[in-house]
Amino acid sequence: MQESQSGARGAALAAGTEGVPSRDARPDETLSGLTAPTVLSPRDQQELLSCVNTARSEGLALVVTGGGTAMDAANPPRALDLLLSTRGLGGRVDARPNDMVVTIGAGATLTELNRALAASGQRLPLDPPLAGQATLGGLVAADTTCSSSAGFGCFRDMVLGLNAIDGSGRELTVGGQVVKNVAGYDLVRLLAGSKGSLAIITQLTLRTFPRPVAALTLQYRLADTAAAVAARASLLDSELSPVMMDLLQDGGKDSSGSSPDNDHERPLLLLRIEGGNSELDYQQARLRELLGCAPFARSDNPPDHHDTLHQDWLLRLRAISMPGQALAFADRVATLVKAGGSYQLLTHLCSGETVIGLEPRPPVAAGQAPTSGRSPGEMAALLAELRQAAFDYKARVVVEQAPAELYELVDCWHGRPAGLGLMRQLKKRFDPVGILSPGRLAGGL
Amino acid sequence: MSNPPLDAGLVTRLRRMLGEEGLLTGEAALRVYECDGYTLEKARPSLVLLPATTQEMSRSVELLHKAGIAFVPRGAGTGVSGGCLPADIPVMIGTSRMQRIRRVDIDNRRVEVEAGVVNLDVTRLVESDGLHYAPDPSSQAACTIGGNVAENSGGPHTLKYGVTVNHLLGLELVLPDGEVLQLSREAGSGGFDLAGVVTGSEGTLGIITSATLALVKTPQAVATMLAVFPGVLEASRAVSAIIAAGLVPAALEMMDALVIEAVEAAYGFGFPADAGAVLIIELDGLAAALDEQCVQVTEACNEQGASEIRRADDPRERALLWKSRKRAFGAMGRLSPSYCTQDGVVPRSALPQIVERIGEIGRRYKLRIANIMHAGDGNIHPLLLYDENDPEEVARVLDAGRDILLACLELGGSVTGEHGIGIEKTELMPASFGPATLAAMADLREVFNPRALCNPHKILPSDRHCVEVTRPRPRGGG
Ligand SMILES: Cc1cc2nc3c(=O)[nH]c(=O)nc-3n(C[C@H](O)[C@H](O)[C@H](O)COP(=O)(O)OP(=O)(O)OC[C@H]3O[C@@H](n4cnc5c(N)ncnc54)[C@H](O)[C@@H]3O)c2cc1C
Repeated sequence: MQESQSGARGAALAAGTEGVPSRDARPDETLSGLTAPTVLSPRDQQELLSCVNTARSEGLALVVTGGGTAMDAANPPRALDLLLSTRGLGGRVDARPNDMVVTIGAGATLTELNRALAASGQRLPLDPPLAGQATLGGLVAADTTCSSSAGFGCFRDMVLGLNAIDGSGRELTVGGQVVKNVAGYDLVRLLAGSKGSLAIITQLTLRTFPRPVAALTLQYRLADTAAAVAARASLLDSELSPVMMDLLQDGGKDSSGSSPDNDHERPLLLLRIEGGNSELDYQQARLRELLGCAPFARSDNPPDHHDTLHQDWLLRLRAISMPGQALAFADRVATLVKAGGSYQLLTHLCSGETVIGLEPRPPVAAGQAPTSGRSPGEMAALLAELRQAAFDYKARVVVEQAPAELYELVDCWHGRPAGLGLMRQLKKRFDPVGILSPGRLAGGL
Repeated sequence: MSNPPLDAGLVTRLRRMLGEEGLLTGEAALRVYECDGYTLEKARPSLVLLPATTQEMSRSVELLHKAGIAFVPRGAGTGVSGGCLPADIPVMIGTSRMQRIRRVDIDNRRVEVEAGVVNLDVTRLVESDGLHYAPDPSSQAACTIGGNVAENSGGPHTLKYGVTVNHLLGLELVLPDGEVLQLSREAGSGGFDLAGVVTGSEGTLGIITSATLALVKTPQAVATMLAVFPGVLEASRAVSAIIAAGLVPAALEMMDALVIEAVEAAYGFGFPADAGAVLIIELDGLAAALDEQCVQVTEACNEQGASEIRRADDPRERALLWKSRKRAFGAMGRLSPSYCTQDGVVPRSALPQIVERIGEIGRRYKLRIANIMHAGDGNIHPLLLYDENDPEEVARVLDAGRDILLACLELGGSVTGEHGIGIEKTELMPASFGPATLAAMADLREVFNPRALCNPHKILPSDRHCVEVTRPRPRGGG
């Protein structure tokens, strides 16, 4: 037990969770600017339950962590006594390819799942950032948007059932093991996307899909945003349904020192198409007609643009707007941010979400002090300006990752969700003592 | 059973607000509201309110809430689990006058419609734009979007496209105290998915007044095939073989010999007289893909002993085939004076097992059981045939139905895939979920509906006193 956990609470924690692997948090294990004193890694449901019960009786605030890929995408908790890692809850994969269903521990990563499914010709087709690190429990709890959500929907759409322990120590088994099921209230809906603030997901039953015979990633350089708007329209009106339709835009002065090619600042359209061989041929030919050009790059592999966006920028925001307005708002964002240095915008054309990367992370090898970027105060001012602009587009801008100081200056959430009163009461029912991520969500939830 | 009359002052206030059209009283007018598609139990409301706007809805609900009077929402009344049965509920609130289309937004692939809009009308609205609304319950020509959301309805094409909740973007909800909420399911709200939670809550968390629905591209090409098998077992194995081949058909439906006999008599599609079971297999997507997939389907069916496989390429033939399927329930009257539909789910691969179990249960209870299934989803609809003049047979029907659903649970399935728990299956909830989960469900309901005025006695077991069990004439389908 480390010093910061000293005193009665630390002792009680140690006693109540005896046998549960515990260690000090690493300096990089931060969430929204805070470092947890202790990390507990229960290895099964029983150990997890003892952690929850100890936290409950001692009034300790805990935050659940999976792969740690989305720990900054919420407000700092009101208190933080321990980090509870679900990585130990991987366990056996029960794949039932003939039912197109899999049951797996919430601590397994998406990559681990897909590796286990590969032999049976199935997969979970979503492609969140950092899939090798992100756990399934975390992906469902955060309902992370993916590039391939264009073709397959969100994580919440994949969940058929789950096991969880709520903040009052109840062991819940919700949903079921079959693809259709309307028995009782759908608590899966309540827990998916609730970001670990009502219950800790321990096991998931998910839909799976057959692997396609073939798949291709195609990249097109477009002339400008107007061309991107036109490309989106013609893709939507066509018979084609690419499983990924992303637009990537780079801009601002390049502070990373790499010399960009001439096309650097022109929008890059990334499409992924799937199907049998004849289907793929047909789609490629039609895309050429629709877009009026051939792709400049073509690959069997899924692209890693979403990963790099997560790794390369210190400040990451997400703009959410109606799909038809997303590019117009992204343009507006570009105008507002470009004076302050380089940036990257990734728009998911189907969902209308734009991930905004600002403040490039200095290359590690360089070993020099980071180039002077925006101060936290300037970042906060920029965020306010973006939110002001968002008003005209009925958009919202939320913070997904930021330097520690910014969390003291801004609310990660943009406004309050409708039904906040009900949400607060739900929180009270499922987490009466307020031990699970207190205050991380909008309106202090 | 009847509910007690209401305070005259309250009725007057409601009538003043809603007008004559918006408030029904009197035996004759109320008769149609005494049950939905689940007709084993009946109860007549004292009053039916038909508000025409969200504001009227909210004000009506607020008045009832203040007066402490229970109410039940109703759409088209095609539900088959007694979800809108007004048992111990004096007031029914219908959505039939809330039928406006609020927004058709082709660029954003969505529509916002009021709760009383009929499912099929949503697709009619946008089909000329090459779009459609995917969830297609067999009752889609009558059932409402409000009812669909309340039941989280599915349909034949949910195999590939998913159920209602997968197509829901937002809701307008009148809470049981009259407050109106606009719930969005957009990412990044920093809250909980309340609209998702309300989906499938069977009218117990509030009244849905409008829904924003996602639209789906109408596929370039469709291939509808009919495969004929000697029996249900062979057809079930073919379903597994098709899934195992890595295909995800748009729909994969099964009918057995009894159902085929009835629909053939009713619609004359031309099913072979000796068919033991048929599969309707629909593939959709790019034309370039379909021929190859049809070959794979044919191989899978042949391997399982199909005697005939036909592709219905002519649109008229295709329409007739679907009519035979979607209206199969209507045809059942030809076989038996009454029938009772069950709605269980098993893992797809367990279809052959449940089919055997249903056969066994039919023999044990000496009942004829016809089978119709959303086979690709493992969602079975056994139809238990009986004569309502034989009370002893009615009792056997109820027991056999329960045994079938318990067999579904044993096989790792669910007691309902689309019809809901309603009032019919509340006793099966403890067999489906443990006490902690049931308590969490009760918590959820109490948060939305703290005074239990909005559609009480549904979903969760309660100690409701018995309503009059009338002579059964259950119908309904899936
Ligand atoms: C022949 C036939 C075929 C069928 N096929 C299918 C099928 O393929 N798939 C399927 O899923 N179902 C099917 N059903 C069942 C039924 O049609 C669906 O459940 C449908 O969604 C019910 O809609 P409704 O408007 O008739 O709702 P109702 O029957 O009026 O109500 C159903 C429930 O929803 C509640 N409710 C209704 N409107 C609202 C509202 N605005 N706000 C809140 N709660 C509300 C009611 O209180 C009740 O609990 C079938 C039924 C029949 C008779």
